[in-house]
Amino acid sequence: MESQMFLERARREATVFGVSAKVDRRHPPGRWGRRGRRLTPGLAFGLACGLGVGAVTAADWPTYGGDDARSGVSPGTIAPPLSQAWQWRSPHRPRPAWGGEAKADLYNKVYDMPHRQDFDYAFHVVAAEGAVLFGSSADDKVYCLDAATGEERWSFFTEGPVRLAPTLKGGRAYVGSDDGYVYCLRLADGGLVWKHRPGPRETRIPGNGRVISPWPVRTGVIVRDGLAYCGAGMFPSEGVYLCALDARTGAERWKVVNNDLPAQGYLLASDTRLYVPSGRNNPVVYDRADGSRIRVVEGAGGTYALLTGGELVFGPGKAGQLGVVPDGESDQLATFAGNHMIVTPARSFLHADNELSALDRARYLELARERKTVLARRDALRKQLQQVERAGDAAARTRLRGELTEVGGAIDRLSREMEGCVLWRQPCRHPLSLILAGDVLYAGGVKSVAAHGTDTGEKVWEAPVDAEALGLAAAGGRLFVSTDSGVIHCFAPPATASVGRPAADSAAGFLLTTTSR
Amino acid sequence: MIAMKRPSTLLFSGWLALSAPSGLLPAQAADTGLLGWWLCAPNHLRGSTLNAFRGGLAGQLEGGVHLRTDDGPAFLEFDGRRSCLRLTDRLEDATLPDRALSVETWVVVAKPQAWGGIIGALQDNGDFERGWLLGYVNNNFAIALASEGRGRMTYLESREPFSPGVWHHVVGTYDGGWLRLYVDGEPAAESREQSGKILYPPQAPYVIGAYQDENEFYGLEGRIHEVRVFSRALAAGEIQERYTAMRERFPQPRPPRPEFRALTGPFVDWVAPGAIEVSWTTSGPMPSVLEFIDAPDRRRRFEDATPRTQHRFELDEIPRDTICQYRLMGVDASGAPWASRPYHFDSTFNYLVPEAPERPSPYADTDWSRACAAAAREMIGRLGSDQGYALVLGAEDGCLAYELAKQSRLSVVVLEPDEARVAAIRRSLDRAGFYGVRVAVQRGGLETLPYGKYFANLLVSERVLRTGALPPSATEAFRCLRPNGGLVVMAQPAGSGAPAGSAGALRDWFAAGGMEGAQIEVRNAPWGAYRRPALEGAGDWSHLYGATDNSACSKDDLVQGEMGVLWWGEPGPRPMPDRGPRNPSSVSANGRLFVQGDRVLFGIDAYNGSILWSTQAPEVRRANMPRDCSNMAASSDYLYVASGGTLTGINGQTGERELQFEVPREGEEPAHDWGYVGVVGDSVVGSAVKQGSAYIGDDGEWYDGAGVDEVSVVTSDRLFSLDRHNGAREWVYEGGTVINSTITVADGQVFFVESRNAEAREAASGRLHREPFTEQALVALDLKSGRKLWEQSVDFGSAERMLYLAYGNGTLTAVGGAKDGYHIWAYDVPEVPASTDTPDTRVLIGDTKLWEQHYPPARDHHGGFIQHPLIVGDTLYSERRAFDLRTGRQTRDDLPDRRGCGTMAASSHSFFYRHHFHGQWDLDTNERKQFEGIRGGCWLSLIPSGGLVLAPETSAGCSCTHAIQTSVAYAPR
Repeated sequence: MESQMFLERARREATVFGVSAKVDRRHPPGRWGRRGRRLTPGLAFGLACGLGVGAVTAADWPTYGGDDARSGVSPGTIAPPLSQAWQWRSPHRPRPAWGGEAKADLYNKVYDMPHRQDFDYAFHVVAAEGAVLFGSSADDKVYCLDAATGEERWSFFTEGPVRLAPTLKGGRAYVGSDDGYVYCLRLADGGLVWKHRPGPRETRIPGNGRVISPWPVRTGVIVRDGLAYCGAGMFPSEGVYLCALDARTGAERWKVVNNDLPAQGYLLASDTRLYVPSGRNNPVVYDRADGSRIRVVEGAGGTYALLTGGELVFGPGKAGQLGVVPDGESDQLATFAGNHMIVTPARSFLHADNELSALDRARYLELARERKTVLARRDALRKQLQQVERAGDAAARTRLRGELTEVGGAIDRLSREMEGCVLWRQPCRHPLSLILAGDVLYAGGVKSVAAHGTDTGEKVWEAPVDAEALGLAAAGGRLFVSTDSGVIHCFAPPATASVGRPAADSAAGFLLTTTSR
Repeated sequence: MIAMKRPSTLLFSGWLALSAPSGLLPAQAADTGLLGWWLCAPNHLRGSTLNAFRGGLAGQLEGGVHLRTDDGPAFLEFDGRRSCLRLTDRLEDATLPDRALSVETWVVVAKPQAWGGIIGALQDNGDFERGWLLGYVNNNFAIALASEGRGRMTYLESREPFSPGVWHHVVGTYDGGWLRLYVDGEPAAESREQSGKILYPPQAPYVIGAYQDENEFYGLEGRIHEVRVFSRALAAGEIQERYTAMRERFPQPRPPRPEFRALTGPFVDWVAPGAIEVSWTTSGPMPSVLEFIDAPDRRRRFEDATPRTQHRFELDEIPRDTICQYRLMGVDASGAPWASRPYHFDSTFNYLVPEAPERPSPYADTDWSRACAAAAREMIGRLGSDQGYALVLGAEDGCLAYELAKQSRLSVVVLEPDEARVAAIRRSLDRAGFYGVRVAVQRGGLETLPYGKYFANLLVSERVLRTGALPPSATEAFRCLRPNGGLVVMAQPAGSGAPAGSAGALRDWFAAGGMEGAQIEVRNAPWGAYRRPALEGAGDWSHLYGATDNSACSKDDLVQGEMGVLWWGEPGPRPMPDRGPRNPSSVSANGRLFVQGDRVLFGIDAYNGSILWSTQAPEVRRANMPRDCSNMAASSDYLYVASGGTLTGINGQTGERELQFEVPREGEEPAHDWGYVGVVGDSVVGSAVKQGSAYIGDDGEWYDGAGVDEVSVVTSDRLFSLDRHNGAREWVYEGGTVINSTITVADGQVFFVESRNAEAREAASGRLHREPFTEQALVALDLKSGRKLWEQSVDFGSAERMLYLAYGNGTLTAVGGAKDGYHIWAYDVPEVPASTDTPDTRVLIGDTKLWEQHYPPARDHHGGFIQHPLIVGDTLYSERRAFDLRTGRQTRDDLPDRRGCGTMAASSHSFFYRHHFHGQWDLDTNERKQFEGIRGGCWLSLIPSGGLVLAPETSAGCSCTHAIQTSVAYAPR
């Protein structure tokens, strides 16, 4: 065989045999992915209550999601256009604990299942008192940067990956680590105030590629009413600990151990309840007063969650859906397809893969209640129909079928009217993160971040970032963007953007660029 | 017509002549009422958008759908998974038929399925049935439609099944009263159930190539050339004319051309960050050609004209988190190029140790730093590996840890009690970019080490290196040391500046820790080294059912009592095959765990979870173990993996593919695939299976039912034995048709059940249903020579669901499953004659059956009929019952409930299995325990080996809400 001739023929033979596909382990394309996720009027949309608890000032973003409800709302507007004030780059990308869901549930023909425990794919930031803080899953440190310049103020070594953002309260930073400890640090200088180990003993084993505690703290810390709440534990067979600590001293106020579900994902808190995500499973509701378990909510699992008053919204479940569980109940009142939700007293904003939409909450809820009544009527008629069919009562069967047809028509009408509650829809190519700063929605996408007005949803601003914008925070008139490459971008209105100075060759992070006003 | 939107503007009309085959032209005159016409041709495709040829919305290609033009009219090919052509998710955007419709298509359905869609706009959720669909139900075309007159859907199916893989013309019509279906121009079904206007849902997707509504998606696996939607019902005559005008343009099915298959491989390995190596071998020399696509606009071609059998290319700039495609090019018998099927490479599966940034050393060039560098070099050299964990007990300035990390792939953990020193070392290593990702420094006392047991591959002390002061507790050091080769080095090399220590003190230290036999060397200063052996009493799980005896028991005496988590980590669910298709178990030997993912192989340190190596091997896959045998087995040094006609010996530690053996061929017979793999001593026992007979399990099969496609057994035409080190042929046995699931090797004999049925022998496939269960014989060969030792006629014909052999204590048991339950037959195994040099002759012996038992199953689902037996000591355990191995007396019927779909594995003291979660049954105490939050797969997913229970992640595609999906190891507390 003439080899060269073979190669020539082989070249002629060549045809396109396919293309590559990008894998997004958090929001994979697929059955529901990469297309508009929209409100599904066939399902009730239960947003019965008001804003999340724990209002914050425009100057602060003291905890993940901005408040204990993880609402993603900042009261202060950051008006675009914005300019990049600085960016900070970690020498290492984030090292997430979990690599993503399986490629497919072939038995049920579910493909591209969304990642249900993707809380640590970026260094999520918090901000207060002119400081920006975050933890690193790569070098185990808590970083404090100057919010105006991006220069490092201090850093603190824990003894394991720090996967979730700190919480700032009263001049202190509270943070958990895979080393099994909760740390309380002085915000001013990073000095250790106290540390506490919820787990039962001091031991470390290989876990997620590092030597860490069997009881890693992967819930973040919520500080409320003088108590710091946290969870620690991965394997129920080893015990999973939930505790309330004196925020001032670290002394244990209560601690409970569970043997059925892990504690993974940002805690949420209401006035009386503590909500503990459990990784791929569903959140568990506890009494904040003593840690007694109230219920495990129903759903399809996931660590994205927010509280809208007493309702818990969480997901992404098996197929990219958010479930709504009313206060005091276990069952989901509604599910709808989407990635994120922002709730205000008048409106709700739903963030899908290709679309951002706003909903007239009051009207929608009115219709939803009506629809719920009609659905109950339909169910009752169905039962009656089954009975008369068994009894062979032809006349009753005809009557009931007629009534069912009428009810079906009413359901269709209500569904259409609920669809009409959508105030606007706008294409949105930034599906990865969403917050509301005053009257501007900021959405993170692949290599860029965008702003949308809340009145029409139109995109009003867009700026590039280095990678996938997975984390957003708004504080002090600045927008902070965390990407999956380990970069923190700071954007500010041009009039207030500071001139930063390149950081010294510090141990880890590097201030890369600055933008003058 | 519903006034949802004005019909779309005619697009690309100037390209009519290009896009419309001439055969279409006569039909255009009859296009009255045409609402949309989607013609799958290149000139209508822009990127991922297919513009309608006439009317209709432009569609977006989603998932695995590709335009092809290589065979007759152009078509879109759908992969049957998440692919479709999405027209819209909002029906108000579409122009849809209102009172009447016709939907016409030319389609190939490659694979029938329960719910299939060609084009549809529907919601079918319980009683809420709206819209319409042209599709198929199993292998019958169907049209479904809901009208105001009925309010629910009618699924009207064709009377005759269609031929998969063949072009068909399918039309569904509705005229406000009659719903009709036409296939290939002929009426196929009709119904009058519907009347009035078409009833639409408020919202639904409008898609081509899938059945989709709000909560269901079933993709078409097949091809579509065109789809047309009309607002009127076409007449039967029109449909016949349309079919006649076009039919000649569509090619008749031809036998598919065989695809090129490498002799071994391909294998894809990460060799550096962003760089991979693709390698394969061919049976004869040929040029090397590789095509590789890693971005929609980047297709690379690699060529090497030099004819060779070992082919290898290194590729760089591999993008992160990308599923790439590639294919190999071979040469056929005529010398023509011959392409392999497309393979996938998933760049998310990268388990290389993270690299530290290029920065100067934080340590000045001094005698001390040079001593640390030299010591690290020698320690790593003595370890014989550079992977896993190194534990440094006591540090000075961290230089040794730095050098260990820099010179190896070890993850280094430093434990040091002094706070100031800890802070300084962290700063230094952080400055170097090593902190966290490669080295961690933890503060703590050295008396009681704050670590779990067994995790350290290398245990050293910087303090000893500098000062000679030994760690306070040798016992603790030993506790943390990995069995099967973990190394402690307490070193004071020359030039370290350390004061000369006492060799005697060093010897005493090792002895105090129970490290007998430590080597003490005295150069300028003493060195002491100790390598930990395997745990005494530990067993291996080297084969599918533990060992070649198929006892499903590792004979591990250590695994018992309360178990705690030893480590957890990768692999997670993503690289694993879905849980259902009864996949091969992982295997473990010599402290290593080998996991077969979904065409990804892993070598893992069993004691700390470090991934030693991984390789993506798209041809390596096997499923339905109850009807076949595993394709891999482990020895102390190698993992042996069969794919195609070869067996590859992979160095267990390095992942290097060092050995390659082919199925012995006899004359000009067709090539065979390698079936059974059994490693015994210096031999590897194999079997030859007709090509393509093994189950693959890629499509959600559960193999839980009684269908022919599930229970047919994979058989071998031949057994053979090779030298496992060099592949030299030792013997070949050829008799009847051997049932793979019965091949058992124990006590110097090879046992199996074979059928003398000639039809089985002559069948084209080695996957057979009833034939192997006739004319059966139970056969024993001499392992060393292959000589037949004995055989006896048996009849296991009632074992219609599965048939296993398992051996223990001189007893061979056959366990079969059938609709009426379990059937067990036990045989006494005659002693092997002392002389094995006599000619191979049939040695027919009398019936040696000891006993038999038959009992109903506990249930008929979730593996209820296919449980594999276990032999522990003198007891045979079979689904929920226990029997005395020699007498058959039932000794207990209180085996634990097994809710899950898997089968059980045993140590000498405990059973492990899937109940709701990982489960354990302690034989000694009768206690049952569950490890909540985590589950195994649907076959054998927890293996007791090396004093541990190893549970690689196998739940994979379970969309259930088990809280944890990870690989984990448990050890006795």
